Amino acid sequence: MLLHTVMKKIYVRTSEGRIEEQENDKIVNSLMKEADLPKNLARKIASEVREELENLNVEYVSGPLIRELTNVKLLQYGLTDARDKYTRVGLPVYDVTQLIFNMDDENANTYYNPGFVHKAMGDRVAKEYALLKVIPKEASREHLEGKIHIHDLDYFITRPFCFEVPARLFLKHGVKTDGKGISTAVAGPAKHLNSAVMQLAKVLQTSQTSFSGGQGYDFLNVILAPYAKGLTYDEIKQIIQYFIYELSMTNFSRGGQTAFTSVSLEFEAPDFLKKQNAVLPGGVIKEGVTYADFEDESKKIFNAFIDTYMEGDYNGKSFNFPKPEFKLRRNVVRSKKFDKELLEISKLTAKYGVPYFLNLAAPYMPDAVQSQCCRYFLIPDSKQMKQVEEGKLRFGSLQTVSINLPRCAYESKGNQEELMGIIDEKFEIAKRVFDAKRKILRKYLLNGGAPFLTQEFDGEPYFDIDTSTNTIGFVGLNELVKYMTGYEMHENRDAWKYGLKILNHLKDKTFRMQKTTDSKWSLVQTPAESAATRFAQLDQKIKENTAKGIRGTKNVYYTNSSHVFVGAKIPLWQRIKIESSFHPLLMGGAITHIFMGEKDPDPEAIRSFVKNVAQKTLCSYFSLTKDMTHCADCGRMSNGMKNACPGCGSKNVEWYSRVTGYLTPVKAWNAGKKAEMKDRQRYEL
Amino acid sequence: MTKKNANNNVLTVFTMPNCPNCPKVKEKCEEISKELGLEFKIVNIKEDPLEGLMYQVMETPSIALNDETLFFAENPSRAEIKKAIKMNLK
Repeated sequence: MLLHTVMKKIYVRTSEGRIEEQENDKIVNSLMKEADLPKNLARKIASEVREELENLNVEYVSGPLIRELTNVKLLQYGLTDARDKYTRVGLPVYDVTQLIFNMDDENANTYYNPGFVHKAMGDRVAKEYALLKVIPKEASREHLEGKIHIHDLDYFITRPFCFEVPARLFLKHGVKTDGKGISTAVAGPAKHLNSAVMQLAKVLQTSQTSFSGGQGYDFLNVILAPYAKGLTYDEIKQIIQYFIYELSMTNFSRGGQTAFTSVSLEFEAPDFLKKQNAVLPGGVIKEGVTYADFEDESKKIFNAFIDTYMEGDYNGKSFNFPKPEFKLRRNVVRSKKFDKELLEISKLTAKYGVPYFLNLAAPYMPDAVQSQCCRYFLIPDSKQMKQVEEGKLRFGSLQTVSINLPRCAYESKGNQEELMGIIDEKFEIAKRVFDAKRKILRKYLLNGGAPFLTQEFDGEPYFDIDTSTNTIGFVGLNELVKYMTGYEMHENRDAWKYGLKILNHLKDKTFRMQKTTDSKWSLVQTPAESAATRFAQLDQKIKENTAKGIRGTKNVYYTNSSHVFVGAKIPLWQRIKIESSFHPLLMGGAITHIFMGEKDPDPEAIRSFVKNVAQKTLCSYFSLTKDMTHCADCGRMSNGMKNACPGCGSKNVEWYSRVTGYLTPVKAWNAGKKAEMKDRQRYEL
Repeated sequence: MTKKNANNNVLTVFTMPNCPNCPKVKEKCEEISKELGLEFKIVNIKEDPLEGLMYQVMETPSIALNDETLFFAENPSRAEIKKAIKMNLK
């Protein structure tokens, strides 16, 4: 709106494009309606604002200026709560220009495109609104001061975080991508493998429009096996190729990103699935026809995934989504039964570093662990296990809040008891964030804002907010330990054990929070892709930061979660042992990254390494990352990060590596992650 | 092998209460330690689970030489224990 002053009269250009004479009553009414002010006070403030307006010797003033003048008056009267309700959220013109022409690279999975520009503008409003209006003030302040990080604020109001999608539910019932079958075409239960995979790809993509984080399918090769009956291997591979291309090419979600997707693959159907009646083509279930009857097809699909990933795309680049995850069960790592398959996966690891390994052979890991996103685990309880077996379980993380552990240490001034108390306080603040999220999201869902989530299957809602997990993450355990003990975790055994004690405290507190609230809680190594940098930037100004734990100089970062400092010059096995020792305390999810060097790794060495990690450590989840350079001119993919293509000498090259939990072009990383990338200690295998 | 423990080799047995094989493994390892001149340690992982985690141990009986765990939740023979120790001595 614009105001036009003519002969002591002030005119308002409304948002509908009309010009109207300004009336004080409009300010009065809006103050009563929006800021809950009593009429007398509203009138008083409105008349003072009017006076200010009349004193302005300008031809035009904007509507936002009137509102800001009113806000100043509210502050002068000490009405801060009213001001918070009455204020605008939005962007200065300069910032909009920056968003259009200078891309923000907080998330490495984004790239410059029209959808991203719009998302970036919308994000600013959505984040500010959430912090101002929805999240309790104290928690908002803790976030802004960098004591905690409330993840995915852009979607705080409208989306839960991540989700394990039950493929069998859609294979049985068909798919309505709008949740109702009104605005989009409705697909019935798939009858052929090609329609089954395309429907499942659509489900993940649609799901992404309702969740801020990752979407995944468990046991995918086993679940699809009945649809591959009678098909040749080449036919199956072609169809799996459609699926992978679909998910790695379609870039329509969250500002032009591909959906963040993962698929878990089984070397062999687990026993609890073998005896389960299979969902057959057409959504049919025949008593006694179980997944054990489709072992051969399941293996073919498994191999088709590996072979397709191995080929890479048309230009020879790796497929980064869906992330393939291989489940290392005891029969895989303790025998030679699957050595051939494991060697093929090792070749894929040697070529692109694409696979992730979920270690179900570790003594504390249950048979069923559903995982998606970067490293989140969803471990079903005994009641949910039946739903897993029957393919009905769907659940995920509602929201993540990460704690800045080094800041807790600085605030404790080195006092152990104080430190534990400060950490506990952060959980209480996080609880208020989770409660606010649940309240606003429930209201939004009831309002019909997410029809894909509120659709029903067999009379049950697809998404149940009450089973979604409150997720606690943390950044900089290593830097906390350094501040408290004088050593980093890789430098000293006592420092390592001190780190374990702190994490054990976090685990116990998580457990206590679950017991005293009605919600599920989990402790996770959050990827903290932007939080690890944001915390370090803010902590540079903290005078208690005497341990100089912040990494980097110009571009700073903290070591993520309970990881060992990426640049620690220690043997690989020692790194894995230290990091793995924390994993049993992190049943919400963890990952150990192994960064490989420039030499071509030996696939047989990788296979034996993978088996060793699975059998001799407590590591729950790991990946081997390979830095790669892709030449845009000759298409050659070479090892390491090179300024020029070793094949044709072209400098038109792109670097690829794993940022936190996914492979992506390095140029899209934020400054802190780029600094971390340079520090990474790499190992030859 | 000398009975002097010049390199401060430590043999650790990880145990838990009510673990059926723990007493046997403890006895064997204690004797082997004396025989080979190793320092002998017992870690009850029920009392100190974090120490167990540092050796990647959550099940018992397990046996470690120095920082390396040689047997996870196993009851190996004396010969097997001695062979593994010999291969991993400092």
